[in-house]
Amino acid sequence: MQGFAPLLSEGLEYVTRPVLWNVPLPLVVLVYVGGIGTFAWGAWRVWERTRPARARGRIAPEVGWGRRARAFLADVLLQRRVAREAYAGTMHLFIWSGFVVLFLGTVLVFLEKDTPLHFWYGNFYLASKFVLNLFGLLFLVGVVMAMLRRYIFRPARLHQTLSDGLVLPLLFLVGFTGFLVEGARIAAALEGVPGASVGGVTPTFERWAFVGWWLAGWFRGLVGGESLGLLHRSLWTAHLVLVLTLFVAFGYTKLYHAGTAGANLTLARRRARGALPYVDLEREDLETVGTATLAHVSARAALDLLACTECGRCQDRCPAWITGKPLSPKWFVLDLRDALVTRPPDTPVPGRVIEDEVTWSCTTCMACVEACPVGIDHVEQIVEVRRNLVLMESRFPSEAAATFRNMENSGNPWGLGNHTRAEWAEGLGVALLSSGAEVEWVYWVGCAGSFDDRNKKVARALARLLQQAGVSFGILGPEELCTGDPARRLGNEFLFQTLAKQNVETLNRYGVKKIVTACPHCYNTLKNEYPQLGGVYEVWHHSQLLADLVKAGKIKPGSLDSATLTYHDSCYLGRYNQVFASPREVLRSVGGLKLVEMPRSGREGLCCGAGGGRMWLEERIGKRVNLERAEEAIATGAPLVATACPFCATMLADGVAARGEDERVRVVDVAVVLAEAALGGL
Amino acid sequence: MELLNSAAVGVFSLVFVLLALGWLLSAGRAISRACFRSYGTRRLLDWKGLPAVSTPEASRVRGRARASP
Repeated sequence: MQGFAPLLSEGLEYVTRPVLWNVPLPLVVLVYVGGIGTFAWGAWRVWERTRPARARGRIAPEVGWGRRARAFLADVLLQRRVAREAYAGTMHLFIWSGFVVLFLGTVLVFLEKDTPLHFWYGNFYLASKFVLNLFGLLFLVGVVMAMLRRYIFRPARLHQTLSDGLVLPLLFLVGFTGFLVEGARIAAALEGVPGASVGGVTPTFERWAFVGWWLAGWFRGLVGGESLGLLHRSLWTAHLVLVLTLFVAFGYTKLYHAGTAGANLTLARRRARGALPYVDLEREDLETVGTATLAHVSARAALDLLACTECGRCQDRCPAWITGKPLSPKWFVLDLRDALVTRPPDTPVPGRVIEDEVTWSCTTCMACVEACPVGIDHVEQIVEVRRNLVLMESRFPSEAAATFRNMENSGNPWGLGNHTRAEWAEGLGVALLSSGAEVEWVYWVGCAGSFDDRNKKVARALARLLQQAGVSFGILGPEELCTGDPARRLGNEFLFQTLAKQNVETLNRYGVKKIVTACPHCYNTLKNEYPQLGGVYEVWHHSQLLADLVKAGKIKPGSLDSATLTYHDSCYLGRYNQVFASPREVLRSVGGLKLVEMPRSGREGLCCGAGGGRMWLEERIGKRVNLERAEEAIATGAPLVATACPFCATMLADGVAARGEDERVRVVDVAVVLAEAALGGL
Repeated sequence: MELLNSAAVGVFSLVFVLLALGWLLSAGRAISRACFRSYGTRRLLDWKGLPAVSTPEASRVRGRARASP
């Protein structure tokens, strides 16, 4: 290994290189002043355009500095979220890591040249050259991967703009000319060109800069002697011009996501995904609700928009987009962003920037938010537009009007008499809190469990399982109202708060501490949103409690006839609240059942189409989302499709029936599966 | 000054090593997702992404997408 050996004990001072040798100084000044100035001008333009957003208030910190620091480390520095996709993740990781290491290399050179420090020589110099060459090479590999993907294998989700066409070649040229400069310098030093090496030594140790060394050999074969100095100077000039262009590009192309995405992932990090922002509707100075014009886009939302990298992962996973609806989460963000930075602040958003049908297509499933590598909350912004449409414009689908009316008059979306809420429990001996029963748990039955025949069976199954396990529980019966989730997701914040305040008052009156519910929508609202209204409880989903009871041996699962089954993740339980394991644990505890996963499961699970109040709206455009999901479930060949959400169960059962498979495939709740095994039927 | 020089060497060495390890971990996760998860594998091979249903309404957005700056 000639050349790799000389980790010298003597003459270490010469094991380094001259800094900024042969560089045209005016050009360096131009790069610093012109480049940084142009970048600053571009950034200032965007900053000015977001003035109305910033005037609406600073981004209130939702998490402490500890969590922000962890987010910076994991999501920004180490690219955890980006690396969720193998090709795109590895590609970006190479580019990013190369960028960071080369930047650190520049800092290192700056410290050596412009401060009293003197440490870049000897073994440290050799090691740093190796690292810089390695990551510089990875940078180029990453850029080539990106170019292949953009120009040859372009996925449908990527759109092409002029700046996209220029940015990647520019990055490549900056990296490549950087290596050429190094190669020319090493070649010049080896040929003894004055000033090319420190102390005039022949720098065979530069083999550690393995890419530059290889290029130096090539240059020496091409150009000889003193001409290498001229070549080096020419390459330096080209490199600096490209660096100058890159500086400019950072201010005017999506490359600025290097700053905005990092800020969005760390400084603006959200506490919980399940809670929509609270609006104080009783505020006297409240002029409007939701996003009426571009001036109503909040600072947090503006940062979200500016962070977008246009990668399209959100679009790829969006159930609305997949089934042919006019919503693409990517274009929702980009249309709003482009309007924010180019149109006057008084431009109306609903109907002008974002078409109504786009807004109403969303199922609030969070697949877009889960997929987004830079932490954008598309759902929050879509609901803000809905809020304005519903509360200020009174413009919403006609079916929503009936749902709102039912919830307002009867306390449930079906519009059935609320006095019949406890009828499902007849003969089961379930305690009503109004009867004065002292219980540990309140079983929040939800509207589906109370009024929908399919889901009444789930309520009965759960009640019997809890009784068998000796759990002390009771229900509110007619005192329970809809949590308001569909109203809130449909944009009717007023109706949500009306219902929620009544429920909180009831729960607090009984001094409720622990709640269990079989409905993920109720679960999410009770757990994440009721604290906004003074209702703080320990909320469990029934799958969590059942899994615990099975583990504790209080429920003996038994077994069923041998069969395979598949599990459909509810968005509000899974992506919203990270409950993926408990329902699967319950199903796996039952003997004879074999769980097979659908291609899109867990965090990547596909919505059933019912979320965001879509359960109560007609689906007139494209393919029905529940059909798309039911087909995926049917394709597993499993005769049982389990779920842990009443709305998912209804949607999937409808989808299975629409495909004529309802004789073969049965859709069931996990509680029903467990009850059939543990209790020998219902 | 000697101490500061040693500190600079130490800090840069540590940062390089820790970053390299962290990135190796991230790359490992990305690649293992592709190798060991069916969905990941499909995504790696399926360059064109998931098939989306085409409707005039969705095409309207797609058309606008192409026209956007």
